[in-house]
Parts: sequence; structure tokens; C-alpha cells
Amino acid sequence: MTEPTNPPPYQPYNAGAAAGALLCPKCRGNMRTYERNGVHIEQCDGCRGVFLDFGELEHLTALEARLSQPQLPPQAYPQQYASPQQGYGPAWGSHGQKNRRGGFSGLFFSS
Amino acid sequence: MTNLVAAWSPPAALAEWVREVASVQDPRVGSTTPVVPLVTRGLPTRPIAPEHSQVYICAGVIVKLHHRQTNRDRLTRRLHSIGGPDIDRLWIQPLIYAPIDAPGGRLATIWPRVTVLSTVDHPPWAAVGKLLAKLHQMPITDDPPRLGGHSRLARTIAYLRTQGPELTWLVELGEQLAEQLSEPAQVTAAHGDFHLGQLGHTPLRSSWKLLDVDDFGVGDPAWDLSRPAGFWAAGLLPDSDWFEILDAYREAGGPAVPATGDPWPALDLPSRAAVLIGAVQQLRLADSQAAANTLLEACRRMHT
Repeated sequence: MTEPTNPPPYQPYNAGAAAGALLCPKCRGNMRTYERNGVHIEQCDGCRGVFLDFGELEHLTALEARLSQPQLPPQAYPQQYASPQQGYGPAWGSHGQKNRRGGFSGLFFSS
Repeated sequence: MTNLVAAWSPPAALAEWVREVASVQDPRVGSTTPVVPLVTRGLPTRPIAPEHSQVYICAGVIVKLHHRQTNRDRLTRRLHSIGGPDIDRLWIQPLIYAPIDAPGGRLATIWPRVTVLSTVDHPPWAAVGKLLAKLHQMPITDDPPRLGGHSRLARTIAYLRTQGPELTWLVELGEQLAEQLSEPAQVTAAHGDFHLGQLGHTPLRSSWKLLDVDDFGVGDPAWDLSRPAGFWAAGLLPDSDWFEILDAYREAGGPAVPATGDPWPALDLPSRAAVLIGAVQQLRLADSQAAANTLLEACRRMHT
């Protein structure tokens, strides 16, 4: 099998590397951003050290626990709220349809 | 209506001052760099009162001129509080942790330019629920002031008092709510004015962080859920959206509502206030008559 023209080495997306890139707190190397299962990880190009954001270790731990558990049936989580939750709401609430209606984005986007 | 944009552009002297402040932070700023007033993405331009806060973009820098009545001490304490350990990961951080003096006797704060949530995207309700739940579990440090929700309700009532007798019933409703809201069941750190326009992210990270420190403080965390909750109850938000944020908030241990069961005892009062404030906002801006009517119908049901 002939070697095709060498593809460039894989470069993970690293916006902002030019200006204000994160520096490794240990060796001052350049930190690259990776995304793994919805968790942002900064890894140092130099010492390969990994930096996690607040809450991300917990996120990874939870993910690991979920993977090591026997698979729950997919509807298990929604069931927790499905029946009673639909009935909750204030007395002054609208009991009609609750559908997305256009034109109200200003309401959700301003102080 | 065509003059709104022109009226909104900063006067030359103010634009020059914004450039000067921004150039300290971003070397790309020169004498001709545009100073652009921020308009929430995708929304029509709207008149704003001159005393309200104004936000200007200059290259990579955001300069916010605060409301004329913004208190220097409280704003400084708020900036310090969001820069504390751990909580700094939840907020876009200012470039300077103190207000500076702006023309016209105002205070200004300096921020990095961030990407804000677009109005056309499906709102990241689950991420929002998780973000707010984390914020509400932060230890309270640096003595932040009281949450701004009460002040927004008070400003709404003050505006309603200047209107005709046909809105007196809304004044009564607002006064009842202000009275009932004066003693929250619990207090935590909270945003104080949370809505979807308060989310931004920096180029290095795609996770949403909080913007706008003006109402941040210590108070009933249910205020931060009051807009989605109240607008859902009024019939303006689909069930699926509301349950997405509520479930994510509960799953992340958010303290504003009980972990299971009916969340409404905790949400009811701030949600009523959010609906009243939203109704008056829609009346003032004439953004959407349909939204104003739907919210006013909900207010009538509360009043009876």
C-alpha cells in the first residue's frame, strides 16, 4: 500500500491560541482544549497535565458511575416526574395549551 | 421609528472616551475603531430611557455604562464577589474588578467581548438549569448586596403609579407581592435578573457563563427561575422547555425548589412578580401586544 501524501498531524480545535491562550500552571506550556463527553479538558502540550473546570471532575465521576451501572431502561428518568409534574402549576396559571408561540423572544431576552 | 438607531449611536465625545478605555485592554483599538451600541441579537431596536444602562462594543472590549442610579459600593462588591474562587467559573469575568468613572457622572465597567446566545437557537435550558443550580450552591463570600429582584419589582410599581387609573389594580397587585416577597424562606447567592440574554461564552470555551452583575447578590434563589416558571405558567413557554430547565436544576442539586414533588410553593411569588414585571415591560415597549395580553390575563387571574 503506497503512502499517500502525508496528512498534517491532527490538530484539535483551539480557537484563541494566538492571543490569550491558556498557559499550563505547572510548566507554562500551551494548553489545548479538548471536549470529551461534554466536558472541556485543557491538556498541556508540554507535560501532558490536564486541567478541569469547576464541576467537571464531578461530571466525569458521575459519567463513570453511570457507565459502570447496569443500563436503566431509557424511560426511567422521565417517569420520575412525568405523571405528577404535568399536574403541578399555580392556580393563576393558564390551563390551556402551552405551546411555543412566535414573536416573544424579547420577553425571554430582556431585563 | 427610523431615528432610533441614530439616536442610539454614542455622541462623538462618548465614543472617543470608550475608545480610550478600550485601547488600554485591546491594542487593536485605534482612533477610527467603531464604537457600536449593543443590541440584543435578532431583536428590533427599541427606545431606551437615557438614564438606563448602555452597552458599547469596541473591538474585543465591552464597555458598560451603568444606570445613573447605580451605587458604586454595591457594584464594586458585586464585581469582587463574582471573582471569588469557584464562582469565577460561572461568570464572565470583568477586565477590571472595579467601576471606573464615565462621562456624565456615570459608572462604567469593562468586560471582554463574548458570544451571546442567539434568539433563534433553541435555548440551552438544561445547561441553564445546571449553571443556576451551581451558582445557588456557592458559599457566600465577599459580602455581596441583596438580590436585585425586589428593586425591579419596586421600579415596576413606581412606573405603574405614573400611569392612568386603569392600571391601579396592577399597582395593588405589585404592592401585595412586594410585601409577601419581603421575607424569603431561604437565601443563597443568585443572579437576580436572569434571562436568556444573560448568557455568554468566551472563544476558548463553549460552556455558557453568566453576564450582568448589576442585580447579583444574596436572596431567594427562586427569583432566578421566576421568568421561565412564570412565563410557562402564563402559557408562553412549552411544557418541554420548562421541564428541561427544572429537571436539570433539580438534578444538579439546586436549592430553590424541593428535590422532588410540587415546586410551586417555592416558585409562586417570584413567578407572579416576573409575570407582572414582564407584562409592564411589554406594555412599555409595545414589543408584542399578544405577549402583553397573555401576561395581563395571568395578572388578572392572580388579582382575583
